Amino acid sequence: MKKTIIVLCFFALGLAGCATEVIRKDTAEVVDLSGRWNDTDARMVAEEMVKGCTDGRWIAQFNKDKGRDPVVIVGTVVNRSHEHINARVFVEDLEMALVNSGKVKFVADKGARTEVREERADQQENAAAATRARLVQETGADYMLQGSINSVKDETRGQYVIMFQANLELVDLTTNEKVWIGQKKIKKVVKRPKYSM
Amino acid sequence: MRHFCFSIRNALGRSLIFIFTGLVLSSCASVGGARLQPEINGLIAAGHVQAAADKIIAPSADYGTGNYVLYHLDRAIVLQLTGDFSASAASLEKAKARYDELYTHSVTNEASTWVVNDNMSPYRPAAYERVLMNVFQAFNYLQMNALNDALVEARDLDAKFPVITDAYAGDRHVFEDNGFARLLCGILYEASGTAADLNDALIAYQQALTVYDAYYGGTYVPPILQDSLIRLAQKFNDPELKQYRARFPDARGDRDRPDAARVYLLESVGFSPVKVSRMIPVPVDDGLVTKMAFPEFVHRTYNVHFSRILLEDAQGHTTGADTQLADDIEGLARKDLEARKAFVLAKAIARPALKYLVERNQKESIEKKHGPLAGELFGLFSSLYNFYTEQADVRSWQALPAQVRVARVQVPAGIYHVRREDLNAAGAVISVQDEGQLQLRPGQTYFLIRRSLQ
Repeated sequence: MKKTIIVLCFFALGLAGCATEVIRKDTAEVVDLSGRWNDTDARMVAEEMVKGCTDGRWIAQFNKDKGRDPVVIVGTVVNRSHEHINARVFVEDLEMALVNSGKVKFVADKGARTEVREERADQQENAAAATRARLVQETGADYMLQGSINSVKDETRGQYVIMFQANLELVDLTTNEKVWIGQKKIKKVVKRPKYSM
Repeated sequence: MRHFCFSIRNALGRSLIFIFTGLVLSSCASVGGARLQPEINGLIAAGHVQAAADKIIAPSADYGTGNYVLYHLDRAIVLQLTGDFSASAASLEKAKARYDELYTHSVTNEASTWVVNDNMSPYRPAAYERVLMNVFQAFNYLQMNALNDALVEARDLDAKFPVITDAYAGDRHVFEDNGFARLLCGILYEASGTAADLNDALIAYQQALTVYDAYYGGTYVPPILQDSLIRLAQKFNDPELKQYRARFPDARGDRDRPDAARVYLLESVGFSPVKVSRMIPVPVDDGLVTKMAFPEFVHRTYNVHFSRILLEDAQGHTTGADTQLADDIEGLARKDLEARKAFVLAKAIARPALKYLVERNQKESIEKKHGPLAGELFGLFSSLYNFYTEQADVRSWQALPAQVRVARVQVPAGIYHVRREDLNAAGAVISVQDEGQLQLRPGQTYFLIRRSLQ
């Protein structure tokens, strides 16, 4: 009887350990669950590449030629990898890094502009004259940041190595000249055990 | 009581009790999960797609323990048929993710397949089903006008093929590469239009040719692939061009005109075969019986054998093409099972034999300790257990079609009224579907993806 009670107690403890667990994590903490591209990868790549971009010689040259900060717009980042990557998340990380750099001015992309223009047009009809945003006063971008995310995967039974490569280019919107090219690679090794209990 | 004990000892009496009880237990098939898949696929086969969707997305719907992947595979097809491509894509991603986790085999779970049956193991899609997961996912993205996401599936397949081949090389399983999957990759790369992707398209078409030749012994190459090989080999001045022209003299390989658009009809036809359990009873001593159970595919009939896409312009001129066989899914399924037959049968023989040996040893031990009656009763009920639990694994992705067929049409850019005719094996039109108006831009590639359920 005593043995039975002890066994039942251990059983109950074991079951208690099987309950759903929720752990809050800092958003800056690296958590890799599956080897797939994740929020940490997007943030790391965006921050490092924007730093490399804004430290480039082209900024000093632009400041010298024009006497002001360059205006940058983020264009398309194409996913050429073999995973479904939410490129929008990566683009937003790029935009945040650009704004936070303080070295460039940043304007809304094609998608965001549509809504802004609709609001501006609405104001012409409905807002008080003194408070209306004026038409044809948008700041044109000097440069567009475009890029792609690629991947190379090498896999054998139970393990694989995957390398993500993000390529970004800064293109002069007047001359099509590429004034800066950057690349960032992330490599992950994923191992899965063949057997478990 | 004495009379009852005597009848237990009598071999005939034991056999009768055994058979009766076995029949009663066998008729009490597991409810819920095990019955849901046949219901869903019966509804699909009858064309009641919305009813199948309502059943499969119900909160309580599942296919039972260990069949998570199978449930989401069928769910994905059902949702694709109802036009909910986003939800279908989510289901396929769940199936893929869970399949990756199932790489790790549980030792206790594997042991249970020797004590009970193969249904104790979680369902792991066969190699041909793994490839088709990407194919039908690509279909989802194409129908959402997300060519780039469909290309992700093509790249995933490119990475997956050598892994699957490597996993099965020299093993009891044989992976049959999928010519249509390669052909689809080529079509998607070509639709992308970038120089790098066009080069990848040619490589994919060449790989598709190798696979079709292996599968059909060189007797059949889809005409659409013949045209594609010549078209791209011309573009790249590929050294194989001369060889392709010699081998495919009827293929035109017309260059893509910059003012024209291309329309592909990718049609899934019919119903994949379903597995049924075949049983061979095996008498053992004292009038008791065990059995060997193994799966076998059964063909499901369908009427639509191919389709015709027709594009009518504003002047009433019609351009069309018939679909060509691109993927013989039924054939792949049968080949896969055939390749594994030796192992499946060996296990179907070894497992009941093992169970019987264990049972006999236990029976002798019980007889010594508790007397002959206890031994006989144990023998009877353990034989019942062995007989009842010896079930073939008849799980498969039943919502798949029997074939995928492809047609390609090149027309000048403009507005067209599109019709699709479904035809039977004799070439008679069974039904006509109005696909509505289509506005095609120069250089556009448009994908029409359909499933015939007749």
